[in-house]
Amino acid sequence: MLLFCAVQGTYSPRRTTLPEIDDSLLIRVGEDDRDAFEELYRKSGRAVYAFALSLLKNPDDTQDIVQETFLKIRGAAHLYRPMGKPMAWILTIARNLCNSRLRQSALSVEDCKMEDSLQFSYVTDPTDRLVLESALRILGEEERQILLLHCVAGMKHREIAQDLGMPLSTVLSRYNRSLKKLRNHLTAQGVLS
Amino acid sequence: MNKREIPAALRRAAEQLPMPHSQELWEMPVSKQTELDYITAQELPQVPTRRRAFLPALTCCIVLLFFGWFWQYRMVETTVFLDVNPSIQITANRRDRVLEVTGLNADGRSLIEGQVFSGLPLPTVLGQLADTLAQRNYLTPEKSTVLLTVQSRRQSHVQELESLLSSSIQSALEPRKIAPAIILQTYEEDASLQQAASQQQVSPGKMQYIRQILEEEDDYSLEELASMSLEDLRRLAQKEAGDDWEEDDDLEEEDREDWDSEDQEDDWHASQSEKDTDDGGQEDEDSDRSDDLEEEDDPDEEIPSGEDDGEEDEDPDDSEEGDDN
Repeated sequence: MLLFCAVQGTYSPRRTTLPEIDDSLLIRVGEDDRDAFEELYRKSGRAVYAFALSLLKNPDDTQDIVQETFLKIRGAAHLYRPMGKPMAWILTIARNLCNSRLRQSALSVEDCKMEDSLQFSYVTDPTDRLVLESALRILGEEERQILLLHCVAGMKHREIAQDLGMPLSTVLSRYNRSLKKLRNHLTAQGVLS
Repeated sequence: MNKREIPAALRRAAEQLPMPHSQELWEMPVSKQTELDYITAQELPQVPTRRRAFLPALTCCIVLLFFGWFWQYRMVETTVFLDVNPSIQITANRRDRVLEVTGLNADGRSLIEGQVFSGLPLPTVLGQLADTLAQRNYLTPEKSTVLLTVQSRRQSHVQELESLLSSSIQSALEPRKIAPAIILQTYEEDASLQQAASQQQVSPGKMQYIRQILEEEDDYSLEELASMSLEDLRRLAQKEAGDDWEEDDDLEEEDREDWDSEDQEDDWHASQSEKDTDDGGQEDEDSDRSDDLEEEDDPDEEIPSGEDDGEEDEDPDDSEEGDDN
């Protein structure tokens, strides 16, 4: 608690990193191992959420997609072919579900106006909410993905590059660019000093 | 807030957004899929572009190298048929190195049994085979006919090869005092020829030779010629080529020489006797006289007037002088 209070409102010296997931966890999930499933959800749930949120920009839809993603994993884990990149498979499932949802709702990312700010009423701190909303509004799709996967899910840039199939240099440059864009926007808004 | 606080703000905000509970997810009914669908399909690992471009280029290089090696070392460039009585086929690559030696009849197969020729220079192999043929008395000083048929993809190389192979055979047989009669011919690939050769159990080279004989010779059938030895075939070919008539010409020439050297005197004598018995033989006498005049060295000698033979007989020196001239 003291550590939490000490860091509240200030820059966190240590970012939470994503725990490592290996193929054996998915194989055990395919064998209907509950402990394995809960471990999998604990290790990857936040990353799936951040990724889906970057695509849908809507917390409610994001929650549905996270649920569908892990139900899909339960139904197909026994068919999973170990390739050493289990997180990539999980994020691919999330992406395909998001795209399906977007097609159904006939809403493109650019068309999402985010007019209903009540969606983010879950976030109590207004500054934090403004930062999140700004990130989802002004950044491009890949910038959002990279920023949220790194900041929210705790994934390393190398892991993001591997799982999204991008070069590491692209991930790094887009991350920095997204931070700069967000900084400039927030400065203009008077949020940043 | 400074810019370094942006990642933390994002994380705090996201952590407050609602997420499903793992227990709820576990308790929801799920039907097991029988196969991966478009949602759960696994993507194959992407090979980096540079490696993707490198692999086809490397494969192409390997294929080109292999083709180059094959063209130089394994592709048949030259085929040689060696016929004595055994029939043997020798194939060689572009570098005139032997690829394979095959016996085309029983004697041929027996001849090459146990010997390794692959990789050796073509002239060397021909020499070895010639030596073996001599060892086994297929080639002797009396029976020395060799039919050598050459076919090459490079027409410009055929003549040179024929010369080289002939020399090699001659060199190999020289220690055994065998002077081979080498019949050289260029082989023209022909499917019907190969089929006929196979039926008669002779080499295509020998079959080509037989066909050439058949074009001139009507007295023999294909089967009869195929069963003949090469010596007999060569004699037959020479006969049909008119060598016997040329021999008669030689004889006439020889006869002419003999006449010139020996019979002139007899002829002169004979002509003289004709003059004795023939009063109208003046012309002959004149011709004879003119001959004598031409040949006469001594103007004081009496010119025979065609009277008694005795005078002539008494003057044998005149004719001798004429003969000398």
